Amino acid sequence: MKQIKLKPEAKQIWEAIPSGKKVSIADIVNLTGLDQGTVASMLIVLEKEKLIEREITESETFELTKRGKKILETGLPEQLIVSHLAKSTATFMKDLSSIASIDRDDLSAGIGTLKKQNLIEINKGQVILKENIRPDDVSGDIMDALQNVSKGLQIASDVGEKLLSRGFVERKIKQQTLIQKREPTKVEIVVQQEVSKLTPQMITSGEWKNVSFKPYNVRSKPRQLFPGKYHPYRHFHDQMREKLIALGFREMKGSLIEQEFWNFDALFAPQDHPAREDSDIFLITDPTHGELPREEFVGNVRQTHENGWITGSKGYGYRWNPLKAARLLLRPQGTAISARTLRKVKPPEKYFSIAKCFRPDDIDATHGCEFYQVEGIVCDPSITFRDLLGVLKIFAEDIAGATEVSFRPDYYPFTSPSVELSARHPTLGRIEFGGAGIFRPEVVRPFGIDYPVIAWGLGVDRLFMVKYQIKDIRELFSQDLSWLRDVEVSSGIEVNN
Amino acid sequence: MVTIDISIEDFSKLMGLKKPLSVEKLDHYMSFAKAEVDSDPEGPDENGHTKVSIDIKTASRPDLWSAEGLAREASGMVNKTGLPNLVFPKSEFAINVDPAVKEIRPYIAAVIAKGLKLDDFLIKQLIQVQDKVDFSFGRRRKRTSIGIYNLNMIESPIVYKVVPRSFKFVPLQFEEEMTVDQIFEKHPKGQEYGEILQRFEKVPILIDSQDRVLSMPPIINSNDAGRVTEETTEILIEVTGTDHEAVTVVISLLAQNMQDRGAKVETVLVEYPKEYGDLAQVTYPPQKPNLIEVNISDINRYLGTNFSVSKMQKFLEKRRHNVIRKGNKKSILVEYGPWRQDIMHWVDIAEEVAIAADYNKLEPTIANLFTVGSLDLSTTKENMVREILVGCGLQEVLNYNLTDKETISINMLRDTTFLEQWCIRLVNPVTSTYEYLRPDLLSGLIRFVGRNSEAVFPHHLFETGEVVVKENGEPVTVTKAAIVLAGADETFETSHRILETLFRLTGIEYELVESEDGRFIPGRSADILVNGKAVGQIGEIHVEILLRNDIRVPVSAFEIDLTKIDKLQISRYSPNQY
Repeated sequence: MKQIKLKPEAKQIWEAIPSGKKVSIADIVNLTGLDQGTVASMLIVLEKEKLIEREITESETFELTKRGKKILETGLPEQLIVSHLAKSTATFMKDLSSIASIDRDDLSAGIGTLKKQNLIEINKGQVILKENIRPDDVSGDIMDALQNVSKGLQIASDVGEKLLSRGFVERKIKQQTLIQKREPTKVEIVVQQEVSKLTPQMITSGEWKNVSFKPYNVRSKPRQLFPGKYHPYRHFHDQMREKLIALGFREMKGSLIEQEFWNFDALFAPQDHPAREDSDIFLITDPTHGELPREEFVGNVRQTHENGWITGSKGYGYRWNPLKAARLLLRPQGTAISARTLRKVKPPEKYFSIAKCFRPDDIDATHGCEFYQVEGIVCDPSITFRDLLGVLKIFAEDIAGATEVSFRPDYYPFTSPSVELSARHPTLGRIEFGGAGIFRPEVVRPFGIDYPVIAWGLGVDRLFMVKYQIKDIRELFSQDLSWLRDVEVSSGIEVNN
Repeated sequence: MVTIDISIEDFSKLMGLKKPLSVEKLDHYMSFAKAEVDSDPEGPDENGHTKVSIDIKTASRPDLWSAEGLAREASGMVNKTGLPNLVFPKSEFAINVDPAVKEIRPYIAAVIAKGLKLDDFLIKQLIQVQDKVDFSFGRRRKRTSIGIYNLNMIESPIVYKVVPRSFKFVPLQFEEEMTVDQIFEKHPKGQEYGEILQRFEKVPILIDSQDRVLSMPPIINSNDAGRVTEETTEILIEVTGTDHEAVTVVISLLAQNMQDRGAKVETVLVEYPKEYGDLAQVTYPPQKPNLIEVNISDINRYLGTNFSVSKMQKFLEKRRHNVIRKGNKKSILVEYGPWRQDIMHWVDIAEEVAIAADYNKLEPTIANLFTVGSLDLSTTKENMVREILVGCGLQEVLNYNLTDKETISINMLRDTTFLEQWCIRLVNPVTSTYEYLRPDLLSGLIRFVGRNSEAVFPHHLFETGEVVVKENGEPVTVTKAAIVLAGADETFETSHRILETLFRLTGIEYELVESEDGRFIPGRSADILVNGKAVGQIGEIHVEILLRNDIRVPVSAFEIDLTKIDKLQISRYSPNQY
C-alpha cells in the first residue's frame, strides 16, 4: 500500500471535497473554513500527489465599470428624474441637472430613455411626467441586471448588451478552477504534523519522518551572545610572539622589580646618568635594595665604569658605587632582561621579550606610567651593523606590514652605533617603529662576550594603537566591558589596514 | 633628551648658507646630529627669526645643545670639514685657585670673548645653552655650572677661593647685600641650588683684584659684574665643577660657540696650587685635540663595510674630525674636539663613519643565522590556562600593575597590615592612583565589574598575569590567574565548575577545604590545595565588598598563584636571583 503524507490541512481539504462532484476553490473555502491562501497551496500538494484533478474552464461574463458601480449606488438617471418629477409638476430641462443632482451626460441618457418609453413630454423646455409612475417602474430590469453582475451571477445576453451600450458593464473572460476529487485505491493517507523544533524523542521514535518543520524566519535577529574571548591587546602580544618565534627568536622573561645593576650599570649607564635620577624611575619603599650577584662580572662592570677595564674604553673615571647598583626599582626598560641574558648566551642566538615597563610620566593620551616593550638581542661573531639594519627592515616589513623603511642616527648609552627605525604606514604616513644598536664592548665584555651583540626594541603599544586606531593609550588597558565584547577579533598584527 | 629653540634663519647663517633652510631640509641635517625638528615653525618675528624646537637625543653631547653646535655638526655634511680651529690668542687674564676650594668645587676654567654684538636674541641663546648644559650635562649644576660676566667690570687676576657663610654681596636681580645664608634662604636660585653647598661651612666665591664679587658658584652671580646686557661687547665665561674633564668639555664647547658667532676668543690662564698635583698652570680652553687610534679593518668588519682609508678619512672629516694617516695603512689617528668626551672607544669612531656614510645608503644585509625560536615555557603554560578559561566562555581582561590602596585593601576588606606585609609601595608615585603594585588580580577584576554595571550581565571575566608579592621581605614577581562571575545566578558552584574544568584539563589534582577569608561570605569559601599546598582561594564575594565596589549582583570568584603549582612549571622571578 502506498503511503501519502499530507499536512493536516491538505487531508482536511481532500476529505471535504464531495465524491464525484466538481467544486470551486470558493466552495472549498466554505467547506473547510481554511483561508484561501492555505487552500491554494494545499491544492498544489494534493494535485502533485494525484489526489485531485483540476479543471480550468473559461466563461464570458460581465463586470461592472466604474460608472456601473456608481449607478448601482445612486440609481439610474431616469429613475432620478422620475423621482424628482413625481414630486413636482414641471421642471425646466436646464434646471433638472442641478435639482436632481445628475450630471449632464446621464441627464440626456435618462431623458432619452424616458422619451423612448413615452413617459414624459417636453413642452417649451419644461419636462412633465405623463403618467403617475414610481421610479422603480422605470428600467427595473437594468437595475436587477446590475445587481446580478455585481454578485457575479449570469445575466441574459440581451440585457447584457443593453448594459454594455450604456457603459455600465464591460465584457470579461473569466477562468474558473473546478476541483474534482480522485480516490485512488491502494493508497493510505497519513497526516504529517508540522513542528517548530526537532526533539530528541522525534529522532528516537522515528516521528521526525512524519513531521514537517515550520519554516524559520531567517531574517529575525538572534539573542546576543558574549563568548569567551582574549583581550585584544594580549592577543596582539600573542601574535607578536608568534612572528618573532617564526624568525627564530627565543623568549626571555624577568622580574618586574629589578636591581639598578641590571637595568643601568650592566648597560654602561654611568651612575649619575640623568635617566637614573629619581624623577625618571620608580623606587620602592621596602625593601629598597637587593643583593648584587657574587660573581666576577660585577667586578668587571665596576672596572669598566671606572677605567674601561680591558674593553678598550677609557671608562667614566669615577668611583663606582655598589650600593647604588643594588638599589631596587620598577623595571623601566626591557633591556634589563637582555642584560641578564648576556650571562648565558652561546652564539648564534636570538632572544626577545615582551616586557611590562614602568616610568614616571604625566599621564595623558599618549603617556602612561606603564607600558609594554618588545625588545631583544641577536648574538653572533659574524654580525655587522648592516645586519642590524637588515633585522630592523624585516621587523618593519614582516611584522608591521610597513613599507619604505628608513634609518636615522639615534642615541642609547649602551649601543654604538645606534639607529632609529621608521617606515611608511599606509594611512598614517611615516611613523617611528623602534630603535636598535650594537651593544658597546663596555656592555658585553664584562660577561665574557667579545663579539657584537645587536640590541633592538620595537614600540609594541604604538603598533597596536595604529592597528586599532586607538587615540588614547589608556584604552590598551580598557575598563570598558562592552568594547572588549564587541571589538573585532584580529587576524594578525600587521598594520596594513 | 634635551630640547632647545633655534631660529631657522640664524641656524642657516651659522651653517654658511645664503638662504634659510626649509623645515624638511633642516630636519634632514638634524638627523646627522641625532636631533630632530620637534615643532611647527613659528614666525618670522620682527627681527626675522623663525622659531623651531629641536630635540637632541644624546645625553653626553652638550656641544650639540645650541644652534652653534648643531650647525657645526651639520655643516660637516655640506661645506665645512675637519676639526674647527682650537688655537686662540692668549689674554692677560688669570684666575688663581685657592687650595680651600679643592674639597668643595675644585675646578675652574674660563674663556674671553670680545667684539660681540649681543642683541636680545643672542642673549637668550646664550642663556639657553647655559641652562641646558647646567641642568643636564652639569647634573643640575652639581657637576658643572657656567657663569657669564661683563668683562669690562672685572680686573685680572680673579681669585677662586672660599668665604664664610656670613659673607655678603648683592646677588643678581636683588638690590641689597645678602649673606650666603640669606641667599640660600631667600633667593630663588639659592633655594633651588643651595643644597649643593649647604653641607659646607665655607662656600666658593669668585672675586677680582678690586675685591668685586663675580659670583658664588654654582648658585648665583653678583648683580653688577654678573649682568650681561645688549650693551655688553666683551664677556668672560667661566665654568666651575667637580669633574675636570666635564669642565674642560664645557669650556671648550663655549669657546667654539663664541668663535662661530664671530667673536674674538682669548684664552684664560688658571693657576692651581700645588695641592692639585699635575694640574698647575692650565690654559683654557684646551688648544689641542684629543686623539684616538683606530684600526680600519676593525671598523669595516664591525659595520659590514669595505671602506678604504681615504674614504674613511673623508667620512671622519665630514664629522668634523681630523685624520692623521699612519705609515702602515692599517690604522689611523683620529683627532677630535675636546668637547667630544663621549668618544670612549673605537666603536664610537665606527659610528661616526656610519653616520657620515649615511645609514640609508648602507645596504641592509640579512644575517644568515639559523636559530630555533621558542616561547618561554612559562608563556606556553600561561597560554594553556588562558585557552581553557576562554573556552569556558570567560572574557579576558587586562588591568594595570600599578594600583591604589582602595582597590587592593579598603575595597577588599583588608587592613593596612595586609599592605605592609604583602604589597610593594612606590617611593615616588606620580599619583596616589598608582601608588602600589597589585599583589593579586581579583581586586582589579572586582573593580572592573563595578565599573561596568551598564554592560549586560552576567559578566564572566578572567585575567592571568604578573603581580608582585613580598615573600620573606623579597619582592617576587609571580603569575596568577583569577576569574569573577557576576550575575543573578552566580554561586560557589558556578566558579567551582570552572576551577574543576581548569584542573581536569591540565591534569592537576586538587582539593578544597573550608576557609575563613574575609573577602568571602562566611561559610561560602575554600582554600584551593594542590599537593597539600594552598595555591589560591575560591568563594562567593562578601556583600560588603560588592557594595564598596558598587556591585548589585552576586559575584563568585577564584584566584590561584600559578607559580605555586609545580606541575605547571611557571617561573617566579626575584631581582636577586640569577
